[in-house]
Amino acid sequence: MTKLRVLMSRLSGLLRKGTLESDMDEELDHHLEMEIAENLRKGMTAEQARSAALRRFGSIAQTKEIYREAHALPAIQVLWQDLRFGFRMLRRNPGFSSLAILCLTLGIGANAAVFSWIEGILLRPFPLVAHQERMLAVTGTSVIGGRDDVSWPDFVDFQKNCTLFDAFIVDRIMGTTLSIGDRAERKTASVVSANYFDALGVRPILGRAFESAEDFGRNAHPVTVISYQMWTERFHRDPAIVGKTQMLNGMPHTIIGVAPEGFYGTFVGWAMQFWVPTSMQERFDPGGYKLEDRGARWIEGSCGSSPV
Amino acid sequence: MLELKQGTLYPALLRLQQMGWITSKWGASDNNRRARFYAITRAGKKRLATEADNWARISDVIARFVTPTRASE
Repeated sequence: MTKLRVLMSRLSGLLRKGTLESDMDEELDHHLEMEIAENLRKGMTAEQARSAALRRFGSIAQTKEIYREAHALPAIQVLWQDLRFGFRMLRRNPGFSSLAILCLTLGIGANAAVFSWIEGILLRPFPLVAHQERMLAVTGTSVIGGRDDVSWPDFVDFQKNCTLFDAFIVDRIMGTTLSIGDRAERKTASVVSANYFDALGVRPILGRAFESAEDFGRNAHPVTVISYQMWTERFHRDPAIVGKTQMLNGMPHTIIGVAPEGFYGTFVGWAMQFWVPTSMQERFDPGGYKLEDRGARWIEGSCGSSPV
Repeated sequence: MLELKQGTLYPALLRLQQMGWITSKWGASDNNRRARFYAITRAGKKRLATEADNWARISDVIARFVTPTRASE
């Protein structure tokens, strides 16, 4: 409590630096004058009275210095002096200063850019996805060498038999025609396994995510989860959006959910506008029906531990 | 004997004031000159009583150590 009071007093002392000096001078002068008057009364000469008073007082300069230090916050004052000195030096040498400032600006800017890029691409590429540091890509290998995507039957087997990971998901990016009224637009979207949202720990803010049955049955489940962005821009945040239909690639799909703001899917650099379950593959992915073909490696697989 | 210069009084007064134990204000002195007047506050009186008690206790203890020595001379 007392410490706080001292601090406050010192802070206010910072602001009243001018009055401090004049008050201090006046008070000390007054002290000396009284002392001299006293000495004169005792019968000293003016000269003696003055030197005796000064002797008894001690060093005036030192007293003032101690007083100043106790009055405010010397550390801050010194810092302020240093800053002002620094700025004066910068002003005196404008060419050198601007060069130094330019170098620092570019250096810091480039660093920040690279770090945010690394963060975005490598460290946390998928906003809102839980435990993305434990996500791994699953690839197939092809006979001629190199890596390949996985096929749907592969995925089903992984999910059924592999105990190494909590969840496997698959994800296929695609361009889609979205029709609203008589207008059509090209949008980026994903065909995903039904466990996609649950495995990523992403909960729709409206409606629901996919159910496991929606993975199966050829074109049997025309349902879609739309992105927050699409919900905002196309549907003006319609709170009753769930249950409405939307034409996607020429087929009406029921909107069953809205993804949370900031979730863009799991394809680095792309923002998905909506997601459909695997059963709709034939509609969105060119090349025919692939869900029963182990040789058709058309989807990117990922695996990871499920959110706790 | 310990001798303090009068100048040391002023920083001490300032510290006492910062701790809220005394207040000061400018006024007119006897010879009608601007002078600074210091007064003890209630918190200051309380603190003074505590410190005086402390001092009494400490000097009492020290006295107990010192007195027998002198008596045994």
